[in-house]
Amino acid sequence: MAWLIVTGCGDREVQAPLTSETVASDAQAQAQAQAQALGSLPERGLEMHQRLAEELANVDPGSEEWESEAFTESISALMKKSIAAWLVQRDEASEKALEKTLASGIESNALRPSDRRPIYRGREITIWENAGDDESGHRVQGYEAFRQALTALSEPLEGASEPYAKFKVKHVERHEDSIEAHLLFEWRGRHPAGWTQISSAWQTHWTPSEPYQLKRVQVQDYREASPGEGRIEFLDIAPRVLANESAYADHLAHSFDYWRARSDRSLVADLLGAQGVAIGDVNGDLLDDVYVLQPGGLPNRLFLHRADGTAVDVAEEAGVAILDFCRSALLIDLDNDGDDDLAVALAWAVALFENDGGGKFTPRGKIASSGQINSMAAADYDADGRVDLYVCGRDASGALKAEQGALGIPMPYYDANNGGPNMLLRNRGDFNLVDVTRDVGMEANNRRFSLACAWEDFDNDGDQDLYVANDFGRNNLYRNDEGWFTDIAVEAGVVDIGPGMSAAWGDHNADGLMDLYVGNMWSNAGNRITLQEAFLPNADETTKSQARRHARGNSVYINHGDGTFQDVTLASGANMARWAWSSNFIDLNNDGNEDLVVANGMITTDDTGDL
Amino acid sequence: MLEEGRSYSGYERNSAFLNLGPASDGRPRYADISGASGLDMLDDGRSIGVTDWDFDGRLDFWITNRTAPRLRLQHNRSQTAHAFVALHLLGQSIGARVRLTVDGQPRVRSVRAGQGFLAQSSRWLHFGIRAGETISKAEVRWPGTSVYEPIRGLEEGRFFTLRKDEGSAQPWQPPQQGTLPETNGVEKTTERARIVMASPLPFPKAEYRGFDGETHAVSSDNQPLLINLWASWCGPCVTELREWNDHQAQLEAAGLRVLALSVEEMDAPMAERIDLAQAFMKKHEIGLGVGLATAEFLETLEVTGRGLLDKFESFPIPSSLLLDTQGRVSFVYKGPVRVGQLVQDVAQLGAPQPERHTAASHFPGTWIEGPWPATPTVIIDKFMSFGNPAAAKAYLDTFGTSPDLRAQQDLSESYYLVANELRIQKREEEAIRAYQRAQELAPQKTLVRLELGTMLFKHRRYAEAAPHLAEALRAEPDNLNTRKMLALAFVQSGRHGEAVPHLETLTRINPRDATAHLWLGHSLIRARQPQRAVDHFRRALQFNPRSELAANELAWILATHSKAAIRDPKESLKLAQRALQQAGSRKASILDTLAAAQAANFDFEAAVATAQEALTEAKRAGNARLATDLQRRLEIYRQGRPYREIGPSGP
Repeated sequence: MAWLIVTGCGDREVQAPLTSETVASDAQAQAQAQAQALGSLPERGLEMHQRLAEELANVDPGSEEWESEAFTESISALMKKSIAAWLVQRDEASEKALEKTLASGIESNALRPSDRRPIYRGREITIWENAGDDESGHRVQGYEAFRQALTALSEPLEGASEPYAKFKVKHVERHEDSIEAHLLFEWRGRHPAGWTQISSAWQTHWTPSEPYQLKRVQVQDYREASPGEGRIEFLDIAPRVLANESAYADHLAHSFDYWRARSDRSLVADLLGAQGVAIGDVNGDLLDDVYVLQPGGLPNRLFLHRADGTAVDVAEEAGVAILDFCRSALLIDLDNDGDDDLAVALAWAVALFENDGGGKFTPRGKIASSGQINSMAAADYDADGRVDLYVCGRDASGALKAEQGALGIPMPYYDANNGGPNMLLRNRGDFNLVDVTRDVGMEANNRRFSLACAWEDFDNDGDQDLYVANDFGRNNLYRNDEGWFTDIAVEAGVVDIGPGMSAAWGDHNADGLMDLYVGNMWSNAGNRITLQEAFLPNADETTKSQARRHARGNSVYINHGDGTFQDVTLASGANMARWAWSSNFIDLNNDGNEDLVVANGMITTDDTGDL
Repeated sequence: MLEEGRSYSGYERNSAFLNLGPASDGRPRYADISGASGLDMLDDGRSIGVTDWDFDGRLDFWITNRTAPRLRLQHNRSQTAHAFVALHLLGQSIGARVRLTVDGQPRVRSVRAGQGFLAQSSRWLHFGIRAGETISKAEVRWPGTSVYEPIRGLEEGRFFTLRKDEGSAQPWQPPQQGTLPETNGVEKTTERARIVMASPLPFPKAEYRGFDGETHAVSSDNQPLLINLWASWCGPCVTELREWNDHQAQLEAAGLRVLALSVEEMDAPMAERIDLAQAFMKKHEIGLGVGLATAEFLETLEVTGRGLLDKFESFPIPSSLLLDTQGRVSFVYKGPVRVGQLVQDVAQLGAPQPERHTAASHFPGTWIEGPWPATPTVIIDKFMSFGNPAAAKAYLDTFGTSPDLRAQQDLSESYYLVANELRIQKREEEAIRAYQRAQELAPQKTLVRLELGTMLFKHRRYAEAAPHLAEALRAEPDNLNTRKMLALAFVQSGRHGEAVPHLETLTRINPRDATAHLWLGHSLIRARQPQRAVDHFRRALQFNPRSELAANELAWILATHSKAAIRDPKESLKLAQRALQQAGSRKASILDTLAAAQAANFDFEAAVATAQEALTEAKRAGNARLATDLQRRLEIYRQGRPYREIGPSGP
């Protein structure tokens, strides 16, 4: 950089620099770029996620890649109006749309393959899959034949209530005489016998220009789940368990946005609506009570489980109707007196409460955090008989950012290490919890954007190890060696670079070893864009694959029992869990195998438009 | 995009996967049963806590959502042929693991506190047991141990508790579950709302039209003010205005002034609008303060709404804002508001902060840290998106300092954003003032320091720039730009001793940086380190042989330094000539050096001639100070003496 200055010698006057402007403007450009990145939205992380679809694609308006998103939008709408609508309800509109969408001479294989065989047969559910060998035998050609194939497809859901059919576009490619689009098809509905669900992958070809028409369909990976003698079924009973609770009818029955529109910005200032639950037993009757976290201006609720199965909110009497913005809490016995005390994550502090044994709580101080707190998990890491607390601090506090001259935007977004610090709080008794992060080796890789954590003795040596799921990057597996932690995520093979949202331990494959399920996000847009050749044209393969992984969905790791894990995600069938938040193991049908449930969806509002 | 309330990866259905049991190679196999389980809710799901809520031996879960309802209890009503056994480990059991051996296969569950996302599941350990399976072994490993102990007495279909060192599980009888009551349903919501501001912010400067057609300022005049939006076609507006009118005495007693602004026929000519509104007021005999909202007023109102409320939804008609005596928006009413409510709210205007925080909460409860203080950031941001950073700064200037550090930080951030905008618009003096304010409010913010230091530097206010640049550098020691600016600022304000270490660092980082060497030489000679200065001038010349400045400065020292060991008259002469050549013109400052070099070589005749030429040049260039110095040196040369100095005395 040029930074000359005009000057004389000796006692002669030194003249002002002519070219210091150059220096200033360089620095200014730098600062300006930083300032532009600063923005003013409260949730900068959210924008970063969005950049997967927008910025990272490096899409030029007007380029082919840009058009592909427009094409995606067009055919999504077409499929919705025609085939999806027709399956749900055969009426004049859907018949017309179908006719318009299908090219004359449309070709396909069977939309519901006839070579289905059960891959799982339980009393409550049967899962069918196509063997994949009837392609030649079942060619379909022409409008009428295709309509018949659709009729055959709709057979298992004939007359079903609550029908729902959807096509999602996963990948788009332009050929000379057609556009190829890979669609994911989901269809479900309910009969008195239970739910039926059909899913398959449609490899489609379309006419190359508008109006787009469907020319060819190749159905793959057909799956059908149908109820057996029994069924799997759930019903939301919160409205009845909380039937007499104003806490439900007047408060929790309303959406996060309902309250945001009625709240001073200083109360909430958040878009995500991510508040959790803690299940424990506050009065020692062995019935599960539940503490429900809430944003600012709305009290957390403590639902006490009554013997008749209903629950009553006792938060106010219990002294834990906290109005501050909260994300999570744990009901744990911090003072070893046999009852569940409470640790509550406010935005920037953990507040502690002592239980008197009967469900009345007394404040016992708070511990400040330089990271905005998300999940927490407790375990006795040093085997001193007292449970300790690990706290995920996702975003750095303003003070911390200021101190370090940083901006707090995840950089680079696919492997960021400039978030808030997490804390390991050692319990020294009498509600004296001390930050020992540095003293136990956990300062390594500790500036990630951590959302979730879970303790487990994965290596069966008797002490508790910790997995941490980090947004915008790589995760941590801290192995505990007599109270000293080493991040062995790389050696163990569980780095799982991506937008880590949740962490859960459980035995995927019933071999007695604790495996991992890591929540990430599945993004159709992310898949579409990152799979294109024009995606990050100047990036190396590692960067590209890291960016691609950001859209891959949840990860499944199995524990080999020798300190290493195997990534079996793609063959597991459990990765496409959409924009996942919490995921957890749960044996849905009591067959002894751990099943999975995943909460997902980013931000739904009344308008249309799915990313 | 999100601010505008658009969907963003919304409409995603929750997922469920059924574990089909491992494949022969030990890999897990799952099937998506999101639809087949009915769990594929459209909710924006967040957190999941697993429990067997009703002790029916099937696992349920609580799930929180962003959307409504924010909480569900998904009750498992599956009909399976399978059984279960559940176990509660009493005492401190977090981290404990229970291992069953079922038909020779291990089945493990651990007690955890915290797993998934923001969630803690039940401490009850639940094991599904397939029909026909038998539990051949049950063991527990308590936390802090690596040894499994046997558990006696477990049998399927029941609940048990187990205490450490007891060995035998005790059957536990869950309470008899009654029939759940029917739900009363949830009332349909309307857009009506009374919103209490926890941290009131001033209503920005705004104007309206009076019935006189003139523009008036919306001003609280140290009196509570109710700004109301109405239209004659709106039934509730009419009712509301008439009620207020009928109870004017009550409102006056409360000290409340009303300003009811018509938003009717916004596109019509002003005269027409006035007629319409006036006719209405006359018809209903309303004698309140009235006027007409302008498009600019509505824009200001929207800016305010976006700044005040966490999620902006358009104001319905009627809507009202209650401003306190200082013009801060304290209550927002969407829909009509009764006189009684107004009187009550006016009485609350002066309430201390804790009371305001309680009033702003939607239900009773306890604050621990309290809400965030009012932040003007969003209002500022909106002003700037309308291209009006000056209005933004004027708005900010109405804020004083606050005892709340977070408020100071936010205000600082706002000034910072405004300053950036002003700088981009090249209103640099104003930008500097805004940066200065941002810096005063949050002295630890190094990014502000960097911007402010840079701007001051650019405006050649070196002494002022230096401390800010120094702080910015402390936060980011690797930023070479900052270090260079700081070093230059020190040099320019004559603080050579302080400049030297930074310049040394720069030459260490980049040993071939000729300019850094030149500056270092320049400062070293003034810091009385002539030998090191000479070395660095030489290096400056080595890496940039065309540097006229380095040649000139070095030549000067080699000719004039008081220490003989430093001097080298011959080289000095060469360098001075070279500098002259590089310069391409006969500059006074270089001629001065050349004269000194000639004198040092005892060629006084040439020295006098050169000095005379330099003097003419200096006078022509208007450099009086150099001219005076040259006059003095000319006398010395005429006396047949070379010129000597210990070190330069200038800056």
